[in-house]
Amino acid sequence: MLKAELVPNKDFFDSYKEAILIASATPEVIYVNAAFTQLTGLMLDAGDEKALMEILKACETATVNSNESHCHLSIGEKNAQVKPVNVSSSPLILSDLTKVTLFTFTRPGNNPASINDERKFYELADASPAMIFLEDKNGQAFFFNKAWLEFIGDSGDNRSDSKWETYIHPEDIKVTEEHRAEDVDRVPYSYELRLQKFDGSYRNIFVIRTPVTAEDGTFNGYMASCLDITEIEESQNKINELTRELKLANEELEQFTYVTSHDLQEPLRMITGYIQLIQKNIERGNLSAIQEFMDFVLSGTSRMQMLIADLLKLSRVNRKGAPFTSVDLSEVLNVALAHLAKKIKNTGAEINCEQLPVVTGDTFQLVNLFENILDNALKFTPLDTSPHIAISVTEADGKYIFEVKDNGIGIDNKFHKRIFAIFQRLHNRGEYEGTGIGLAVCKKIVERHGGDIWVQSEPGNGSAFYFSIKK
Amino acid sequence: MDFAKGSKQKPRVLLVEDNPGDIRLTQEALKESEVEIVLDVVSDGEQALDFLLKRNKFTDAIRPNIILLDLNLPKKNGIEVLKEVKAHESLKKIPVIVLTTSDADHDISKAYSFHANCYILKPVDFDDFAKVIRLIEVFWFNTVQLPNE
Repeated sequence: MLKAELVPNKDFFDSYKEAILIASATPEVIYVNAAFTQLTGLMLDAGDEKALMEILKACETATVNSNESHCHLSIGEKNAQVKPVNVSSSPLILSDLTKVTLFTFTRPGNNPASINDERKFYELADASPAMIFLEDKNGQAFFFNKAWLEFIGDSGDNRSDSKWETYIHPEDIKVTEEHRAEDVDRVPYSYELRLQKFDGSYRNIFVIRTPVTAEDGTFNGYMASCLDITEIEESQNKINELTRELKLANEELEQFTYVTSHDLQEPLRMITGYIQLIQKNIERGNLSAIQEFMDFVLSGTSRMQMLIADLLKLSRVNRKGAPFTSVDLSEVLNVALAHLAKKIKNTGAEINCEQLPVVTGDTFQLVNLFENILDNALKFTPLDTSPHIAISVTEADGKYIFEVKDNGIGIDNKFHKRIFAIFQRLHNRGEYEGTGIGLAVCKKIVERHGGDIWVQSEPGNGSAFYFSIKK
Repeated sequence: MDFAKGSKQKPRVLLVEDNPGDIRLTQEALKESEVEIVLDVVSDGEQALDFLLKRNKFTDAIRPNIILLDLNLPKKNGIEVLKEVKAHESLKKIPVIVLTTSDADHDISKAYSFHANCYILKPVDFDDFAKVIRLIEVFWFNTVQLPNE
């Protein structure tokens, strides 16, 4: 004999406003709800079997040709009153997969509310891309839609006994329990958690829990709608990252434009100022300072040339970068040393180098990188001292880390970051010549090669420049 | 303090400027002025503070009446110098005139928020530059009253 407990959504039927009767194929009445009892005075297991059977037969006859029909129903044996009702039938599958028939009765004139609405809801729920499940007032899940079954990889149609909690990421169980405690408030709320998909992967899920009320307004459980927001979050993160990069690039560009225009203006101002001064002095017949003023004009023009040449170098790093090839850094170093041959000879520098590896990169830029760093090491040496430079290499985290160590004047800790920014000079032009662009170029080159550049140094104790290049 | 004509006090100016061309231009511009001004020059931000605090090689330095401060300086930039001067109990009374080529809003705003007394753009033209130097003299040495110390 079939048990009423096998009826899915029984909670829903129990509190349903219209009368409901469920019959097996035998035929046998296996369930009636409270509204049915109220309408007919009949109950299951209360000696009313005969009367119930008569109603069932009437229902079957009435709906044999269409699943919605009209029949007369006798209400209560005592007053034997007969009232017309509309009856409709629909197939229902019990949780043991037995097929049964659901009869719904509506009084004529009554809005034939909504077993149909309810069925529509299930259809809609199945059409929804969101995973939806319903819980009864005890928190027991009794309906899972198609999207949910697909998510957990349930190929059958087992809608009712899924313990959805078993799919929660272990780390999210606590937070879920904390949120579920809010159920007592009977208000909608939402939160995020991770649920495991059938393929074993955890997805980020946004859950909206909405309380469901019965027709009479009493609390009847919760509906949970779950959205897989993993991809949305991933693309949002990607967008955020790109936006941040774009912002940085913009800031860099703004800084570059500002610094550049400022530094280019200065020699131009010198040239203009001193030419006017020369003109004035010639007019006054005072020729004594002309030569000195002329030197300022000339140093202005050569400085301007130098700045423009350096700016071109910097812009070429990204604009004119060559495709990466296999590069033997020992050869790169030899080319760089050849470029610096004159300075090395003049300063009497001694340069030692370990065996350097082969990397993937831009030969021209890597020559430039070594040349700039070595040039600094040669330049910033105390007077009457010969530069000693040692180049070595180590490996860490899939990168080669190069060290160029010198015995130069060293750099105060507070300047260790600033020296890699464009046009930052720590020294007066009189002391050490330069535009302050060399290390900015190095930084750009190293970044293009997926690495970093930094320095360890203190005044008077030489400097060690480090840069990393992806292996 | 009074620097009017005939006064024995000579006004002292500290020029903080790293560009030798600008230093010389300022000297030339001062030559054309009526007031005799004593000009001290330092060429980076650290030296400026050493001079003002009479540290290191500047133990004999004499406190200036005004400071002409470039912003783009090696070692310590002009804003950092300004910040330290204006945070110093005694030095903060010295008017600081920012004299720079930067017309960037953030530089101007930053300078004033660190209590620069005024902010002047270096003109490109020498005559205009000389005019600016003269205006500085007239205003700071002939018009306003400066504190004694």
